[in-house]
Amino acid sequence: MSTEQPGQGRRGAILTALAVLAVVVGVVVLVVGISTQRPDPPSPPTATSGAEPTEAGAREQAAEAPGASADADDGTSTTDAPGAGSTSTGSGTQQPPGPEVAALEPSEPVEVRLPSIDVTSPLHPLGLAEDGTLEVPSGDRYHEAAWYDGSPTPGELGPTVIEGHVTGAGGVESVFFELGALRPGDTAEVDREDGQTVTYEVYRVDQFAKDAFPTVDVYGPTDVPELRLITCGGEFDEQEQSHEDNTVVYARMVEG
Amino acid sequence: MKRTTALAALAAPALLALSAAPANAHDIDDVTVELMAPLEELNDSGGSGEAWAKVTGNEVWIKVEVQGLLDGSPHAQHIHLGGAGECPDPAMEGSGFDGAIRTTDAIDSYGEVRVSLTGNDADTSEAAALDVSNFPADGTYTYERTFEVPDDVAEGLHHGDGVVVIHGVDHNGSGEYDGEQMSDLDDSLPSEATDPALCGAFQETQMSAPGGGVETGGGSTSGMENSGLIAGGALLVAAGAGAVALNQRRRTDS
Repeated sequence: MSTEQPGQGRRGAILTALAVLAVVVGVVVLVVGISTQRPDPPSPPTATSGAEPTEAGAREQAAEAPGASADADDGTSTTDAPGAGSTSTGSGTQQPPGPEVAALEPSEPVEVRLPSIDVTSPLHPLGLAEDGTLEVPSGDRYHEAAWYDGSPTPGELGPTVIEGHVTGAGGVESVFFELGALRPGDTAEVDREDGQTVTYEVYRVDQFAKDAFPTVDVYGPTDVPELRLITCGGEFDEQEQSHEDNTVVYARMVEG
Repeated sequence: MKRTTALAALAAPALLALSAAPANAHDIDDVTVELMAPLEELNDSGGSGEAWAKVTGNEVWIKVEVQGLLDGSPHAQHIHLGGAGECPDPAMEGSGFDGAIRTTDAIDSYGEVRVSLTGNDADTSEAAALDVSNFPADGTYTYERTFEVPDDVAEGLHHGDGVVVIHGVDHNGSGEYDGEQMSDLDDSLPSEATDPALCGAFQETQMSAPGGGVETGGGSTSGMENSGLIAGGALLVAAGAGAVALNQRRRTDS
């Protein structure tokens, strides 16, 4: 036994060194693992799943940012009478602020760009699923945005519908992860097959519970060419494997 | 000159036939028209909502979503036709409580009741306009039904002339339909029970609208997507610490 002592001591030292190394590596892996946890996708500042989120939100915004910035936040809502209870920021019936732009002849969209959140994506057409809901991008094009081919082409009269995923399997960020960070006044651009580019200005960003999706607001008729950008948001329901809300960005054509 | 007149004479009946064509119900049989209307508040009812319909031939599918009206009281709901196809100005001075708009005050705007949006498989004709036991009896509800309508109603809807009106306003805030004034439609009911609360003029949609929300999320970012890394790290730390402790004990033992 005693002859083994020195050997055992050396082996002990090596073991200890290995153990310490394991602890150090473990700590490093832990730190990396925790620090690269992805955050939730951004929500509009008025993110409530209620029926009339915009008005309270606008007041909140005004309180947080007094003075000029309150006006800036609300730049497109020029028809809003301050304090009037019946008007809400960015209701679908509002008239466009600038001079009306002429609607274009149909031509399918090929690319969408959202410069303020660094998004550029090719577009492919998608239709409706058997159950009447909108098909969503899948397979090789999972992380690309898509145009609903039942909606007007960009620049045509009516709301052009473009959708993209917020996340993919395992929670990886997808093309519209940052969509909820868009704000009124931001720009969206859509290139068409005929080479024309339609420029839109965002006038409303909202988040709704999917079971309270405002169909008429989002898909209803409009007086000018408009754009709807749609993705998911809110809490992720692990059982349903689906987000509880939809984030919808409303924009109207300003140039084309 | 003579020839032009002759041509015009020939063309006139053809034109007549053309313009008469939409009146023929058979022509709308295979056509689906999709209609939508945001429901705007009348009489400061405090409500809001939307209506969405698809009409194929004489078959109507309709979905009405309403929020914020008087709870626990029936809300008669109809499609009106034959007026100007629009809603009255909410600021209009009516003959009701404190100048409230009563149903007949705005008949020029939205026309007469032609469809009663009842539930429970009840009659949907104008005869059921005040079938209060078969209307939604909540302040917030979703109504959905498919039914057949007569030819002239189908044609009016195909032309986009329909106006959706939801009734029932608690003017005096008592929590129920009451008050001195009786209804202009039925003098056994308080006027509050039949005064218009929400109105929306149908407009043809510019697309075939998808149903419900959109499934554009494949996974959560709020969970632990780095759980492998984190678990591995924790395991290494535990194993390392365990080995150190074990080694320590072995040395003291010997």
